[in-house]
Amino acid sequence: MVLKRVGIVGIGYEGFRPSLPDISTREMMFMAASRAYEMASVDPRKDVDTFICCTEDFWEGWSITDEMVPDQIGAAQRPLCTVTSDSINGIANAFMHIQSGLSDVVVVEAHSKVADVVTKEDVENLGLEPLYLRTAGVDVDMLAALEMDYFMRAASVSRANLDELIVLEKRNGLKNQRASYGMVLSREDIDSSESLVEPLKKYDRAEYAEGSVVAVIASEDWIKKRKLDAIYIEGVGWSSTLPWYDGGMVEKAEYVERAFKMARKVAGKSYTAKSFDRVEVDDTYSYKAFQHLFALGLSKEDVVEGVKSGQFNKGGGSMGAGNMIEANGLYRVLEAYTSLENEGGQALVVSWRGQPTATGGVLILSG
Amino acid sequence: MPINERICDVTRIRNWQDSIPLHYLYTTGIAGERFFKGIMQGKILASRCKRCKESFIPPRIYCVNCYSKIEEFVEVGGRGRVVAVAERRKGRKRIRYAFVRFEGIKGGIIHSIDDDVKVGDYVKPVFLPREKRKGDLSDITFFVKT
Repeated sequence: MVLKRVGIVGIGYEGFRPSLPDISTREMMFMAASRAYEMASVDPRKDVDTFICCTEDFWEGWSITDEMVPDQIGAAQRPLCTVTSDSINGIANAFMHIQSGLSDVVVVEAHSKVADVVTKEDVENLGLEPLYLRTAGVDVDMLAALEMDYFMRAASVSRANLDELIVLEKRNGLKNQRASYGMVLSREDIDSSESLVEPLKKYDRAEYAEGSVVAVIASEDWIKKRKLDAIYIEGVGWSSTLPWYDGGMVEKAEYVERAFKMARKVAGKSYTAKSFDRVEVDDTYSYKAFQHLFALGLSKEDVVEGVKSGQFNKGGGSMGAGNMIEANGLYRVLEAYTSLENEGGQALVVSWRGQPTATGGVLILSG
Repeated sequence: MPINERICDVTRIRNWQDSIPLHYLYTTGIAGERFFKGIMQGKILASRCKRCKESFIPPRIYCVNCYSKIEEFVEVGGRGRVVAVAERRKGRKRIRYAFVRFEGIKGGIIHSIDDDVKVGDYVKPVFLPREKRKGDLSDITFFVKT
């Protein structure tokens, strides 16, 4: 089966700040969507066939949140569905809407209004399996610290390796206007920082940030008819695998390995991780960035060298811009889009749904 | 289509605080029932797939590899091995957890450990006195070195 080419014709955002106290979730989404529609020259009331919103009710503090989504993105009385996962999964669904012939133009939205969640740790901990983890007194930081320790031993990754990544990404963040957490940080700063649960330190975990990102995705035929420029989605993949504590791998993220394989199959090309001009990889935890990069087939030497030379997350990643929960995938797409628009080439985007999941997505983009 | 009005004076920013009081029961199910009854008897049980010969903790009634129905439960050996340790400090108090794996078993148990347990150590569970056990993981006080 020959797949249609699908491209991103507009991407808009609002926020990327630790908190946005002056606007509501709906207003934030409206602002991001308005910018994306302006960029893509589309009227959402006429030109968009289907809408997808990536959101999870517990983060919203509102059950059936999806019922409250359409109006602010121009989707009132139009087909809209919610994807309760990272926004790469939302883009994968948009891709399939277009491939199936159902839509020519799809809008994908994801956001974080996480500063409004007063007890974030309660939402995080409700994600843990109740009978075998919660009853044993495990919380998300404890789980992450155990995974980190297990991973560092299994993959021979040192504290110094992780520090190097954090220092560089925080510094990269200083050059990115979207990165609220960019800073000059030393290894000594990390060493003396608060220990959440040893070996997990404060700087190993990206701080939360708020914002909304909206992408307008369309078929190549539609893009050509409208004479628009686009960044094309060459491949997309996603996967859920066994978490490490249930018997899954720890030395690399198997879900990324499988998602990358699927994305290459969709693209019909035998890419390696070294084929790309830009790699945006989930780094919501320092050690997860390494775990995700290893899953792309890179050796430890490749990754350490790549971190040193600043090959990954050139805009600072989540360490610089913050953890935007479901919007993390679209944030990375936004970074890749901006780079490809200016410099051309190809980009690889790797996202993860977050603790305690073993779910992730991969996108291959070309400018 | 920008919004012209933005609140610049922080004292004008209003919000409303609310909470969601949710309470759930989590059914242990067939495999959980077997596992936690085992815990009450001082045993750790794994489910075993007859087809692909793999055993799992936490136990399940289906195999994640071949999707066969699982009806066999086996007691794991008396000791497990610590493969990861994490420690939280609260003042002088140390709260230590480990991921304990058992020979030939996929998965394992995350639980609290004694102060001197390190990665690589062989450990065994210390159970509450039989009359105090409830049939959940809190029936294990912690894991100690064998």
